[in-house]
Formats: sequence, C-alpha cells, structure tokens
Amino acid sequence: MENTVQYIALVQSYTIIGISLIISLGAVAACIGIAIMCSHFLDGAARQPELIPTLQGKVFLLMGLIDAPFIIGVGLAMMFAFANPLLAALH
Amino acid sequence: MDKVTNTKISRAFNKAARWQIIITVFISCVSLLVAGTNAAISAIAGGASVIVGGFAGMMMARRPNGGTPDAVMFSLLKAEVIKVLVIAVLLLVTFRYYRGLVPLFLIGGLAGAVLASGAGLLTVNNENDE
Repeated sequence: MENTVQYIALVQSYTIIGISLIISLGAVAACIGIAIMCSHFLDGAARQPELIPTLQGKVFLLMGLIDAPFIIGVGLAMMFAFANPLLAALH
Repeated sequence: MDKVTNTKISRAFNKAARWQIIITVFISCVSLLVAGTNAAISAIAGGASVIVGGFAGMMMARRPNGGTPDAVMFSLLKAEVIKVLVIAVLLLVTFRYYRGLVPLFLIGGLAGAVLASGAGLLTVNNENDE
C-alpha cells in the first residue's frame, strides 16, 4: 500500500515536470518562430507598404500554423493533467 | 483598416474553417466507428475549440487599426493571444466538465483542426495569382 502511494506520488511529480517542459518549450519555439516571421513582415512592409493588406492575411494564417505544435502540446499537457494514462496502470 | 483587407482575412478564415470542419467531422466519424459515441463527441469538442478560437482571433484581427506596419503587427499579435487563450479555456472546460471524455480522440480532433488551418493559405495564394 505504502509502495503504491509512493509510486503514485512519483508518477505525479514526473508528470508535472513533463507538463511544464511541454508547455514551456512549445511556447519558446512558437515565440521564436513568430518573432522571425514578424521581423520579416515588418521588413517587407517597410520596403513595400502597398503589400501590407496581402501580407497581413498570410501572417495571420501562418501564425496559426506556427502555433499549431504549441496548441497540440497544450492539449497533450491537459490530457496528462486531468486524465493521466500513466496513473491508470497504478490504480 | 480598409474593406479589402477585412475581406481577405475573412475569406482566408472561411476557407480554413471549411477545411477544419471537414477534417473534424471525418475524424469524428472514424472515432465513432472505432471507439463509440463519447470518442466522436470528444473529437468534435477538440476541433470545435480550435474553430471557435480561430473565429475569435479573426474578429480581433479585423478590428480597425492605424494601417501602419507596427499597428498591424500589434493587432495580429493581439488576435493570436486571444485565439490561444480561447482555445486553452475551451479545452480546460472540456477536460474539467465532460465526464465521458476520451482524451486521445480529443487530441486527434484538435491536431487535425489546427493543422488544417493552413488550408486558408490556398485562398490567399489563389487571389494573388488572379
């Protein structure tokens, strides 16, 4: 019984570390991607201001694509937080 | 922001949303066949949260701004923040209150819908070709 409780605590603590790594590394990667894209958008807009409306739509869509891995990571992190499949084996 | 820009953003979002709905329904049907009703509803919940988040972001991006590059950039970043927040809150509510949730299929619907958002680029590229 005592061993089981210890195992559950161990799994929960490692899960928290995993969740924080998933969210933080995903956020860092998304931020770097968006920063690079935004810098190029500003560069292009400064060179040719008449292209701003066209570029704006593309930037909006590409931001969604760059954020995709982060959003999927948030979903996975919530899965581990609310319905941890690793704990099911112990129960 | 002028009407042309608003129309372009709306058209791109509509195209993306159409593909997102198609892929979400497809994943939901597969889930229904593989794991039952709860899995199908979970897949729809995952896809719907992304579509609603994208809609909120689109409404934010369409709001008038100065038209200068930095104002446009700031407006787009705000739209992205709203989008991610709405998606996160909807996922949180789903995980918290839906008792019969099948997480794997929710992630499947979510991933399919998020990755399908790139389909809106086809519209923008076609408009440029015309």
